[in-house]
Amino acid sequence: MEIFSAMKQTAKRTVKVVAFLLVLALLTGLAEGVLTNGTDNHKYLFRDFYDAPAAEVDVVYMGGSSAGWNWNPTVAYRAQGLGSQLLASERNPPDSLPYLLKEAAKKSPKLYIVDAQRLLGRFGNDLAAVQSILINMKPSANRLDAADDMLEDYSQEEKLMKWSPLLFFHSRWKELRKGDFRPVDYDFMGFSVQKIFGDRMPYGPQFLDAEPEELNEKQLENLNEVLRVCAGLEGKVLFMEVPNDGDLAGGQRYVENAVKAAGFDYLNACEYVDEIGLEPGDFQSGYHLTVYGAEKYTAWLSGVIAQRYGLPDHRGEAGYQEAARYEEEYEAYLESKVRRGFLLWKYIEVMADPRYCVLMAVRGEASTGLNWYTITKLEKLGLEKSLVGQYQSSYLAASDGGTILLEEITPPESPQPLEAAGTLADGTSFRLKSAGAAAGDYASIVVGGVEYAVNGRGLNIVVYDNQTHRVIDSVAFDTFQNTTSASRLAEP
Amino acid sequence: MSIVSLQFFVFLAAVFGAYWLCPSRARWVVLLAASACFMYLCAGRSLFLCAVFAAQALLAWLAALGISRGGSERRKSLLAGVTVAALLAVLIAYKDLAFFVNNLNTAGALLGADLGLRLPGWAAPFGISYYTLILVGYVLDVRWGTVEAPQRNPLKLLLFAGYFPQLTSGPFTRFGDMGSLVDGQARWDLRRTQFGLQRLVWGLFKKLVVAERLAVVVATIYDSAPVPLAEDPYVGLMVAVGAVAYVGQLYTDFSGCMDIVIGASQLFGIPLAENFQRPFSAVTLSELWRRWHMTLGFWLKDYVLYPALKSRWMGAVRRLCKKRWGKRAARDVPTYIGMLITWFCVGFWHGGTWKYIFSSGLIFFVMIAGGMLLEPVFQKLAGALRIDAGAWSWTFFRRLRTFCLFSFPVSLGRRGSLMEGLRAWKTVFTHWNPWVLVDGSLFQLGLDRADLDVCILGLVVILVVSLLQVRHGSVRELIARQNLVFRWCVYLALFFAVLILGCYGPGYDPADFIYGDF
Repeated sequence: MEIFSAMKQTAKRTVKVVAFLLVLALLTGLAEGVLTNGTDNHKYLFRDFYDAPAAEVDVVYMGGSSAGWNWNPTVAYRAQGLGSQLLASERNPPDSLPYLLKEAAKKSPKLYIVDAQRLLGRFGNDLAAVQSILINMKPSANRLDAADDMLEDYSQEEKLMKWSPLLFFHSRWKELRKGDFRPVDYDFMGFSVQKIFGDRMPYGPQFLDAEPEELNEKQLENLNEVLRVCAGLEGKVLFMEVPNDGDLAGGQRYVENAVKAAGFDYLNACEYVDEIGLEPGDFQSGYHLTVYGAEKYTAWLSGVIAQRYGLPDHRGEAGYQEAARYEEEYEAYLESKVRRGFLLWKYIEVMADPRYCVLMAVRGEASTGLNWYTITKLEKLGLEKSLVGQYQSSYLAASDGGTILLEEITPPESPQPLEAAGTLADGTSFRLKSAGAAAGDYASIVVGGVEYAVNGRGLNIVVYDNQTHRVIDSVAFDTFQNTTSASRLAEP
Repeated sequence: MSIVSLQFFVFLAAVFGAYWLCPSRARWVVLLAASACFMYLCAGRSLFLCAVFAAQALLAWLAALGISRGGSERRKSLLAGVTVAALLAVLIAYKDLAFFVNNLNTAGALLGADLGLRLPGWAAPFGISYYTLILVGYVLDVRWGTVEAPQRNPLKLLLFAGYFPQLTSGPFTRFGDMGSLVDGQARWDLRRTQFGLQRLVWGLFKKLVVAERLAVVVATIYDSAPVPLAEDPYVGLMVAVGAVAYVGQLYTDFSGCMDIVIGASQLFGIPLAENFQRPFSAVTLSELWRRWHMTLGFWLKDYVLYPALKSRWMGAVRRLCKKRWGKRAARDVPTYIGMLITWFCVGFWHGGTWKYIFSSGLIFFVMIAGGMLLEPVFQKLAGALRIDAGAWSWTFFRRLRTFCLFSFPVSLGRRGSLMEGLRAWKTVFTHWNPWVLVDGSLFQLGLDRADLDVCILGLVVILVVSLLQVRHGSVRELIARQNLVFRWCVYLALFFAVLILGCYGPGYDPADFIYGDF
């Protein structure tokens, strides 16, 4: 009896100890989530990759910002029904690629896309870049190997990252803000809506025949390791060179030759700039497209790989669990894109989508800073009354799903303000008022009885979403000054 | 390998697992292997330095066996004396040679001779200040019969002297108290393990949350580049602030280290002696020293003070005093001489320089001896002022006074030299600047508001725990009696306080334990 009682006591104690350790582990995980969140190396980059069922991951695109800022998985799904995931982080260390490939292999994708530019990246002296990988990779033997490799040249304290990011990031407690307690909200399946502005173009065919430049020893060693890992993968591997400015064309050609010699595919998007439809505003610099360019690039590339590798179209497929998430993320992405836009001609291009109603009213003066791109886009939107040369005119317009509901303009420096009212397709009423500098200097856009106009100098725009039936953005572009100066309502 | 490093905890976990999985008879072997490994890693992977330790331990082992074999008292004393001298010679050669070299050079210079003696610049074996005194104590205990049966197995004596938790900063253990270390009698006890872990985390809290933050303040005040007095921002009251911060750092650092060490040892079922007993609740300096670094105090009392008082030459002094000045002198003079020797040893152990000999030794001797001499005067004064000795306010005043008297000399030891320290303290009386307490100067000491808040809160927690100890005894026992939710909340709060608020990792340079350098 005594033995039984002692055993019972021991069992009770053991359960308590185990329960305590579980609580400790849970709280440690929560603390790690909070403390490693909100840094430059946001914690949730790979979240969707890990969450996705393996059967629904057809493509994994891995690399640096040239992957994470350029490939938009939600667009790939919209365009071709592709189930794709990103394993990308900013300034991704080149020596992480072998481990990311192994990580990607856990989902057995049909196609691995390797960001070829990262094979030319620099090694060491960028702990933040290493952190990005390590705080996002789930604990595994592969992660430990990656940590050993990437942290090789760092200090003992910095090597704490290998075991637990919390040991490294614990001192962030002083910086904690409200936002750190919820997942970062600017990532869409690893795609970062960061770059909106750009007025350059990537290089075209002029660099395609660049002389190959030898890689340095470390880069070469890493390239060989990547190719070695690729050789052991079951799916296809595509090395992708995104539209870029040609600064590393020589190195890229070397990589291209090595990759092709090893029997893998290499695709240089710079050959297809026109086919992709890139134009000023789509390319930022280096290897980075803007969100507008990323959308075009993703739509183009998803078509190419779907055809070349016979990837399935999951749209409308019964039982496809990820569909809802792609749709949800796409909606969020679109709204985010609209809300972040501050390059007027690209903004107007987005507004051409039939799902949006665009309500415009000028305050003060809106003609001096207009450029050719903007005027062209306004024309494409269907607007006929040009603001060009209309110094201090009052102007208002309303477009609903591509149909111009009204458009009025006064002569330059007219003292006459404008006012008009109407009803959107869904029955929502609106009232617009515009007054140039000589006519009272104000702008008003009332939708459903609520004033939304920023009432800033230049072109005031309110965007109404026909699908969600609500105003999603209100912005004033100061087109007296230029087409990139904008102020926006925080919560329209 | 620092005992606050991740490596140490991985090491400790591995040893813990191996220890309890082993049959009880072989457990001491696990600890011996772990201690050897720890010493090797901490001694800069030098086999030679480990061999020095082994040689010292084997010397003590041989001497103890030799003494126990019998023979004349003279032979035994000679053997013990030679062994102790040899052990101390190694300690002095490694740790305190600078004292002799510098003083000989200085003496030579005063006499017009350039002796040009140079220091060899060799690294000392890890923990030599601790294990040497432990071995000396062991040999003397065998000689005096306190240890009746000396250890026959040399490996077990190696373990006794080199037991890895005690190598960093002690405590000084006695052979008779360490039976469970070498006989493998410790039995698994979950509660004791839990208590050990709690003690260990509590030590980490003191060290990483409080001591490391105070270290920033101390370094800002004490390590600033020398500037002319008129431009020095750390004068007047700032010197006192620095002294208080340093004493706080010293206490939380050393007692934190002891908590880690004792907690770690508790995981193996091996109790180690306590080194602290709420020292700042002492109302006199001598009481404070009885509560601070207690095992060093006991060691010096047992192996220096009492033998000195009982020695033949002290008897001669006693007789001489009695003959010349009477009975009271015969009682007091040998006591003061014994105290002087003991305090000299305390200072010398802290560091082989006059700075330490004075700041950690002789100044305390002067203060304590002065207090004893003037005690009748103080009592008369208290009577004249009608002071109620039992009043709380009087006790508080005495504690505050004791703290101040302790802080002054100890803080001198943190300065570059004794004179530098005295010059700084002089400004406390010559530079009137109480506004530094309120004009934001305290925020210019290297800690921002958040860190300062954490530091103060940490000190408050330590104070509350001390008060609970006074009232309820063991705080761990007290918490263990509470409801599960409260208990777990306390444990988790402590754990996460260390994990999140602790100063470690990149961006920090956690200093070694201060007492590890002594």
